[in-house]
Amino acid sequence: MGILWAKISEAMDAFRNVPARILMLGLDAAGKTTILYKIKLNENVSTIPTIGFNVETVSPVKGLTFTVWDIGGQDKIRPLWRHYFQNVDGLIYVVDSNDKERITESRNELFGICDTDEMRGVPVVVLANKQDLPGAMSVSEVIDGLTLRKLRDRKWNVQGTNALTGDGIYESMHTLAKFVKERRKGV
Amino acid sequence: MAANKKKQDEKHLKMLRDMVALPNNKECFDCHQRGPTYVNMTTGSYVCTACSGLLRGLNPPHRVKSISMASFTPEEMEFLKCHGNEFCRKVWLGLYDTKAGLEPDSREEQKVKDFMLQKYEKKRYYVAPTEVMKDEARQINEGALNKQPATKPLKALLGENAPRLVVDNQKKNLPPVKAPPVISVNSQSSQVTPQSPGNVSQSSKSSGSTTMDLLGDLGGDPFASSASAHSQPAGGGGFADFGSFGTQFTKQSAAPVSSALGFSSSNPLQPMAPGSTTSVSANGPFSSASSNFHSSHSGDKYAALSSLEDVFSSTSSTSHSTTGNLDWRGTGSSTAPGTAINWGGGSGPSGGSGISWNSQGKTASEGMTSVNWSGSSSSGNTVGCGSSGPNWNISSASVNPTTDAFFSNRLGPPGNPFLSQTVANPFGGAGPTQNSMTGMGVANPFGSAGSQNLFSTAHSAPQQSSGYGQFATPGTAGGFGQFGAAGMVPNTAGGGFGQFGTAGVAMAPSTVSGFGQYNTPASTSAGFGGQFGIQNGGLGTGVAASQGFHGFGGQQVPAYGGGGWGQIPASSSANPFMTAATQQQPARGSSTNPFL
Repeated sequence: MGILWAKISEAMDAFRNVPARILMLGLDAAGKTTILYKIKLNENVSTIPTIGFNVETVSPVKGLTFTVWDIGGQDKIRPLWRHYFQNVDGLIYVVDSNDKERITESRNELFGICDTDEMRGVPVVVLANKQDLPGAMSVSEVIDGLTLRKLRDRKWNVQGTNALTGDGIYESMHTLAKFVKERRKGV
Repeated sequence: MAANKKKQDEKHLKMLRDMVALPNNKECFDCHQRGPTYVNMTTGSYVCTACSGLLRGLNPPHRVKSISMASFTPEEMEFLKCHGNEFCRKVWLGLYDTKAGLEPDSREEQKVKDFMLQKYEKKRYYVAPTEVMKDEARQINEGALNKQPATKPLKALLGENAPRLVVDNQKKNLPPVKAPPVISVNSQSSQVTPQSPGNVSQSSKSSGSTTMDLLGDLGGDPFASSASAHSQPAGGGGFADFGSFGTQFTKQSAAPVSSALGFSSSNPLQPMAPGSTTSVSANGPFSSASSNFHSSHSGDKYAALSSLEDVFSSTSSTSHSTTGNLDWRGTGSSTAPGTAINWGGGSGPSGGSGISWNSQGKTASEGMTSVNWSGSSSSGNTVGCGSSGPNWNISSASVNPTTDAFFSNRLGPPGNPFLSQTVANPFGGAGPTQNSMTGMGVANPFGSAGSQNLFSTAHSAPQQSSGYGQFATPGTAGGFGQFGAAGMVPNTAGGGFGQFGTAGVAMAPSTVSGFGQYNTPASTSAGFGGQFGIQNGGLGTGVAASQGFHGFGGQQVPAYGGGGWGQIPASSSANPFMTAATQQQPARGSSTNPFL
């Protein structure tokens, strides 16, 4: 009987489909907005640097809806990120794999985010974007560059992506969906 | 550490803004949209937001940074210093034949994008940069960085042009002044030369020198523009003094008026004056005035003036350096039939003519009508002479001589527009006694027509508070302020300068007379900065005003003939401009009044 009840509640959960609040951050020109609209519209949009944020509701995974907040990443508006931290279910962190010079800067920003109270334990999916570019860092290079292995208090995943073709994006969404569900269940 | 970084950011931001203000950097390098907000850190060009987005999408992507939302390292600033749109044009469009193809318009995104592909990915027009080009770019940029603070450039501009135009002309052109200018607005100006023909040339030249769109810089203040463009008396003289009014008065209360204002009391022309100057000093009109001024006026008015002050001061300074001449001087000539425009109507002969602001001997001799700013004397003159310029200061009877704190001296140095109250004080306008004008009630341009003299009345006076403050406040009976507010207060009874602005409306139908004449480019510019005259043909139009006033002091319209504002005795209308129709009638034949 108990088992049945658990099954039912799980199903109800799925039905309720409370949108997960997902934050998408990263340095400027990493490709956040492009990815957002690739997920949302499956189109390549011509973007301009984001001032403020874009927010879209997407459901890349059946049974789960994301409210994705894409916040502008220019350095002087990065301090505004924290105002979006409350009640976040998951973080998509976008890295320009082609930008080796700023991988350290990106790393610092990521750890700055993860060190805040609000973001404690929030799962992170890192998108090593722009894999199509010739000089792009590989996934493992990005992991090293971000020193992700030091990030032990949460689940994280790195996925190489190409926002223009959509390669890797849906995989990362699945991963994120899994992380979010697990976190909700308290796993 | 953080503080240092912040400081550095601010410094870099300022440098960036300076560089982006360079003509070549003022538009997007890729689509020519004005006002780039991003920097292309790959090429060192300045681009708009839309193009920055496109640039990020190139292969390989360009790095763009927002001017306002990114911080720059010293290295990046160094990079930017030796780049810029002009540099990029030589490099990335080095082989581009501007005649062959049209660069895309900002509205056609796809074309812009295609062109970017050609430009950056295929490098079709690319020319390898040389050190020479970098040095060139650096020089340009550093020139921008080293330029004076924003407040000073105007001055700098004037400094270049003003001296040649003004000084030379005036010196050479010393008019055979029947009446030497009585009052020199500039104390400093060694030469009091009536500005007649020389002025004309001046005005034209100044107009010709395009750079001086003061209005734009100053935010449309006609005075400012005029002053800056045309070198005006520095120091105490002229309009500039307005700004200084508060300061000078207060400071130099004891000092003789002339010194304080910078007017030369020595002018022979001042009919009333001789005694007046002394009296002024003795009376300490300034001091009294100043005290009154302060007391009577709340800070507001001052504040209002402050803006004017800036303008004036700036202008004055410039003019100063260049020319010693102040057009303010009232010359006796004004009284003469062909009178010049008297700002400080000093026309002695005519019987205590008001202060002619620019009384120009020449003009008078030439048979040109003078505009009297100080209506009182002038009006009298005009009546007598039959040819009077417009009276700026028409002292209405209502004005109590006594009341004028400022100009408390009736005798006051006639020549000094500010000082001599009795004489037509353009500002004070009070001086009823000497001026036959009193009855006239002609409008005092500066002061509200009848009763209100901005300066005189406002301060000491019982009458209306219109004072300096009015300068700023358009709505009030007429102050300088109205100048700025073009068209705002068309009909205000007090029409003062302000009406200038409104000229179109208020000004009467009649053509010739009025500021319009001032404005007419052809006319010689007399003192006031001469710029008063609006080249555009209308002070009335707020915008036009910018250039206008060239004529103010000095410009005399030959066509003007005898007709003057002053001549209109009967008109009770306060503002010469306003009443123009009636007053100007005599003048009609001559030139068209822009205002009208």
